[in-house]
Amino acid sequence: MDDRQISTRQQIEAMVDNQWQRLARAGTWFSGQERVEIAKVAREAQSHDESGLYVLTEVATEAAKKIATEAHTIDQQWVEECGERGLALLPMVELTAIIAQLSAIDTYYVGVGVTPRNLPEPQPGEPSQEEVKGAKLMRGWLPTRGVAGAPNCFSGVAAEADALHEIHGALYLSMPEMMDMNITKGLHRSQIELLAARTSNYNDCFY
Amino acid sequence: MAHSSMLRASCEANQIQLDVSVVIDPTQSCGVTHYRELLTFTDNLLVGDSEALNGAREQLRAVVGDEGVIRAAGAVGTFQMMNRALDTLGAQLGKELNPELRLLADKLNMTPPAHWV
Repeated sequence: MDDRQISTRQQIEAMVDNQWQRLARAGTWFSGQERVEIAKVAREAQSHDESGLYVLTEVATEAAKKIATEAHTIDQQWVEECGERGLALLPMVELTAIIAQLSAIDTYYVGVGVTPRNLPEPQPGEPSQEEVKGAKLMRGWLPTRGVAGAPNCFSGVAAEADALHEIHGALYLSMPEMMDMNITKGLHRSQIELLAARTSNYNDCFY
Repeated sequence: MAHSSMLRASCEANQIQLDVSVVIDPTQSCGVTHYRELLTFTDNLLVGDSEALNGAREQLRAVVGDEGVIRAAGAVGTFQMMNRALDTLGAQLGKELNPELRLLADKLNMTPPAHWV
């Protein structure tokens, strides 16, 4: 293994260290205990090995399972019904982000042949409830800053938007790198996009 | 869909032959280097067959090296994340589906979500 390979693995490990610490701490709308619990529900749903012993609300548990295993079936009515049952839109952004980010990291580890990390021990603390100025519904079902799309999908919760960009850059391409159709980062851009397109097709994701 | 567009754009920019239907039918061929090993790795990773994945990983490693395997796993992981994010967000890419994307969707046998039509 050459220096660059070690460096890539180290960069990814540093990113995961960061994300694991963040997962354990209180977030914007959920406590550390709830955040780790959301991750646990998502993992168990994906592995079809559910303990059923969850401290989350029923609606948050159901939402975590659905986003983890059948996100392609989600529609606006379901998002609104979650809201009526107590899972408001901004907490829904954070819950989605936790599951989506965990899915990226776990898939990476399985892909390289390494057992995914155990979930972290929750840390004490209260959610910040910090609202993002200007976040509102703009051609999407969840609040975003600006018109809803891939780069700003979690922009309704600032910390989750930052995390998405860190993971995206470490595992795939940074936003500036996205502009380069000829970039080679271990693989050529055409190879990377073939993987991306096939994954989206498998997940039945139209985007 | 968006990344089938990106796949097409990256192939066009590099004069690589591509029939995008390889995305839905991996038995098709395309000009992307080592496409067969990449697709086999992706499918086995997503399906979760660990024995088949071990074999696919070694076949991929033989042609793209350790760094390529790391990047392949990272790319699949990233789209596990983005697919869940965008499906829950319900974003519309524009007020209506543009004709180019509609043609691509037809080619990929994909039906636009109801809120895009």
